[in-house]
Amino acid sequence: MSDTIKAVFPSDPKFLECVHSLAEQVASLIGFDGRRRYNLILAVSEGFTNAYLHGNQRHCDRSITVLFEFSEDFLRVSIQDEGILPIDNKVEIHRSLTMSEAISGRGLPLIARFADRVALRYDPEVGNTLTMTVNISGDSGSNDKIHKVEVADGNHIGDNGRVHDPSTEGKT
Amino acid sequence: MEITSVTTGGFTTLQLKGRLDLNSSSQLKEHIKGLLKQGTANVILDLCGVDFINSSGLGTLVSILKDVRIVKGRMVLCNLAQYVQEIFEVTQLSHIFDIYPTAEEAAASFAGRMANAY
Repeated sequence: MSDTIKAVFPSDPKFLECVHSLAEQVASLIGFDGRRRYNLILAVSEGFTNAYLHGNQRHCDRSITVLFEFSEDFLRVSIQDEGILPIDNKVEIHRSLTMSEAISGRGLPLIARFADRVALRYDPEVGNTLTMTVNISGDSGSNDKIHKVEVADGNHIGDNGRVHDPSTEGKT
Repeated sequence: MEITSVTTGGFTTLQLKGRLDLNSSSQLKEHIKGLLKQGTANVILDLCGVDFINSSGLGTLVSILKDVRIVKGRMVLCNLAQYVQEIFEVTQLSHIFDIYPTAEEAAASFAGRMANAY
């Protein structure tokens, strides 16, 4: 049994403040405080920004849907854009947090760092959907866990946001 | 985002208040561009009023740092809130930026460099 909160925002960074407030209220509802509260707001902010910039390609006439599902055990946040093309995983996901002076590309690795599970899917009928799941009962505020991001091509981001490609695992 | 600017002793301190994200990034970048055009190349960004930063804000700070370097200037950060400091550490940007605990220490770092230059 889980509760659900769904909000549809115009695809416009002006609404980041509203998205931020909504995430803050959800954090209060599920009892997140301190670092976990900050991390949830950060992850949702990153997801919305990613949907605007890379999913909707800065088109303000589109929308971004933010869905929170939560129970005693987990919180799942889905952020869906109306992109007509899949987010370029090569650009956005194949980055690590150790990329020194790059100007962009830290969004998804930051989400991956703080959520227990992150998935990015593209459906031509719908758009891109970024889903992040946090185990409420676990210590999701820790920075020491191994995190995983799943993407459509089967690759995932592992520890420290580095990419693992199953087809090359074991090769040097 | 509120930006308060104070110029003294060869450097400009910008006190920032609000969230540093996609919404406020261009405002900060334009402000710094204006400073650089006026010939101000030494900048302290006092983040005491910044309670939230995301990857857009980080990217903007990296971009500004590069702009300041181009004009042979120097930019330092100070007064980072705990969670903001953690984001810098997680992204390893704490190795790229000069970060000081207080505005006084940031200012002293400029004073020391200027004294060494003479």
